[in-house]
Amino acid sequence: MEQRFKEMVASKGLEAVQSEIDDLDWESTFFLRHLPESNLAEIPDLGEDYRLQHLHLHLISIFCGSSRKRTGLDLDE
Amino acid sequence: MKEFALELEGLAEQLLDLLCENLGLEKGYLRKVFCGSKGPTFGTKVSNYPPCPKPDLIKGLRAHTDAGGIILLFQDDKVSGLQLLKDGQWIDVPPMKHSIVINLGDQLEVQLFSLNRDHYFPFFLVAFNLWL
Repeated sequence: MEQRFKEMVASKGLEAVQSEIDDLDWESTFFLRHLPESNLAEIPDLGEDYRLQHLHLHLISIFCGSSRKRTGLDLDE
Repeated sequence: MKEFALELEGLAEQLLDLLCENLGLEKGYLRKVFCGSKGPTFGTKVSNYPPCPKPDLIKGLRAHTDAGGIILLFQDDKVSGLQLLKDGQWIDVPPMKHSIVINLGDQLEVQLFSLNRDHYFPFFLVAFNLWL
């Protein structure tokens, strides 16, 4: 994945760039939240499919902003 | 990982209490400031800086201040790169084995500044190191 990342950026980005890029970081990162703990596991009668769907929509809302206008999805449904 | 996180949470609380002691605040004051109804928000950010084919065109992580409360930074123990701004100069923070760089985030800085407007403590602006 790291190699693919480097190739992609080198071919499409940095190759064409002449001056310093000041609106991006050369960083690969993830964040793991320890607290507050999610209470999703405590909710009864919640199937695995729903949990995965919830996680999926949660990730979409993080990446796209939680606005329904932006995602075009009703996150409460 | 959970055990590691618990230890780090304890260390962060001890550091906040040391700040409280230095500032003449009651023990636990700053911890409470960062606690909502469900306790503090606390997490681990893991960052990788892969080798860059054109390092003169982009920075690993641009100049910034940390947004949160107290930040425990585990640097790579061999590769340097972290710098801090002190008196208008960027200073290299050398990688040191078995050490943690402690940063005070914006929210903590606001808290401390609001507590003592007449004395803006200079150490708010710099990172300092804790050797373990």
